[in-house]
Amino acid sequence: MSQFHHVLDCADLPAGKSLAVDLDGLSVLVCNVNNEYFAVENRCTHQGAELQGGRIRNGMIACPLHGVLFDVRNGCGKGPLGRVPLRTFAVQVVDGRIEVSQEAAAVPA
Amino acid sequence: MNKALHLAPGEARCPGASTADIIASDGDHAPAHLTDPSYRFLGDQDIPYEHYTSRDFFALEQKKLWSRVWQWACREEDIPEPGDYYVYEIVEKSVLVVRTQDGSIKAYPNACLHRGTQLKPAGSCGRSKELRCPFHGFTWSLEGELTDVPCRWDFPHMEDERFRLPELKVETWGGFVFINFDPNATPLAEHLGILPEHFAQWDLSEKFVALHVRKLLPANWKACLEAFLESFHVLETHPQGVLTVGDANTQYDIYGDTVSRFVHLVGFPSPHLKETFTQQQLLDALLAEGVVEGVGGEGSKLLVPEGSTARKVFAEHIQATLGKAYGKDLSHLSISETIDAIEYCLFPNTCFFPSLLFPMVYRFRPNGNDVDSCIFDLLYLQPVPDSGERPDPAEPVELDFEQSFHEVPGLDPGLATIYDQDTGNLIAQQRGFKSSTKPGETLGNYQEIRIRQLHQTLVKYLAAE
Repeated sequence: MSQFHHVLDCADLPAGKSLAVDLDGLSVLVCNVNNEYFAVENRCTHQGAELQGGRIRNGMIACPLHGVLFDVRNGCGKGPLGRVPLRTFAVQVVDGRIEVSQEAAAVPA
Repeated sequence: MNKALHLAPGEARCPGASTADIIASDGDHAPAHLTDPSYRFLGDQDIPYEHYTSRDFFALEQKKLWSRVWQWACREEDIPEPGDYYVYEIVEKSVLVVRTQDGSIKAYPNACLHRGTQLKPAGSCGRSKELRCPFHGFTWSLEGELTDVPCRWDFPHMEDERFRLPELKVETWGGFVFINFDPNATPLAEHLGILPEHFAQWDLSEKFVALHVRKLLPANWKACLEAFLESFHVLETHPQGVLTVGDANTQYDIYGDTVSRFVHLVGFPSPHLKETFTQQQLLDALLAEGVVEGVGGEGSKLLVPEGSTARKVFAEHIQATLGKAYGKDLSHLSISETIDAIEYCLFPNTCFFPSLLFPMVYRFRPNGNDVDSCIFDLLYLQPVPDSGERPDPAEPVELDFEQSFHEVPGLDPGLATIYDQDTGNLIAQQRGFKSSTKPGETLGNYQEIRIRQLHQTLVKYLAAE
């Protein structure tokens, strides 16, 4: 059974924004895509930059350092610099509270 | 005896009411230029197939067309904030279009001045504070100033001023960011010709990209574009449309060397049909199986009142339906601007539609350096709602050569069928070019004038020193 931790409130994270939170010592980026919430590791698989601050559009985040694109919904990267996907984390929203677990996000069918 | 033979070449027209007559009979405030034909006979010589198949010709286009012509790289909405960038690719070149701190737009060759690596990945867009090469970390500001040289001690010869990012020409029109590789290019306005005047009431910058399809097509870029420059093919290629759209009576116009247009009627049957139809039959056809399937709607059957027309009732229905969907009052539009397919082509490779029912933009780029294939961008430009809230531009849905437009989520099924039919002929055409013992294609004087204009302008570019 996965354990969810309260990391942020929905009110803290407007649509299109992302914020890094600490999850048991791991930096996790929580993202709001059109008021759906997703969480990925806050570290680009290309060359290790923090993803926080990267522009999110249509569910894709652009790494602010070199620009590699990742889909925050499933972690998949785009192009030759994004071959290694981001680790994802399951997210649930309970009473306006965003909760994240160490488990991988369920991949949408 | 064919009466057309007594006319000078290019003077013959499809018998029956002209497009201008029919728009005039709408009796509304359609823009005057729609009913003001602008045709010139440009000769009737065959167009050599080698324009589409020769690698030498393609190389010449690379050298003398793409490196000198104004071409749009992205939309302004792709880069709304300082630090936003967009990577545009044409043939073998990659361009980095950047919104700088003061809100202006700059375009740089997408290449590090150290050892050439692309500063941002191909096909990407995003936001960054600076432009940092992923290889060694040489860094430039958004404004193109060299800001960081790793191991500076090893590069005493890298003087900041000489190592500014070189700038390409940039101008904007209608929310499109145009670039030009030629530092001596004439201003964009000259290239746009009549377009700004004709789009004065149809501001493309007040729209957003609601849908973007990017499909690979198996033919030369010009053949792909030309499949969309005439409606002569409608009767054979899109037989489902004969009752609801014109074809042989479409109006074709050319303006200078760089702009052309067709005005393709909707809600008026093909002149090929010999039967006569009531206005109610035409309206029923428009709503049942028309060009756009999604507009029929639910609820009570629409009737054409005594003395009215299918075009008028259909246009009002579209204005109400799309107005509701878009959160926008559209009742000021004329019938023609609402339902007709009005398509402008801007040389070399783009079509813009000032039309509510057909809010498209097409662009056809060579697929890298392949003479035999093309990248087709299809955009839907939807009006920004009256609330002023601008949605993010849609991510391109990528389709490979073999995929159908029916695979695109949200694309109207009637239009998807039309695009599948249009693009289905292309591989046969590209192969036919190479199999033919006849050295070139023979064009209709009137209906295919836009294709002739395109080749004549292209040849002028290629002949320039």
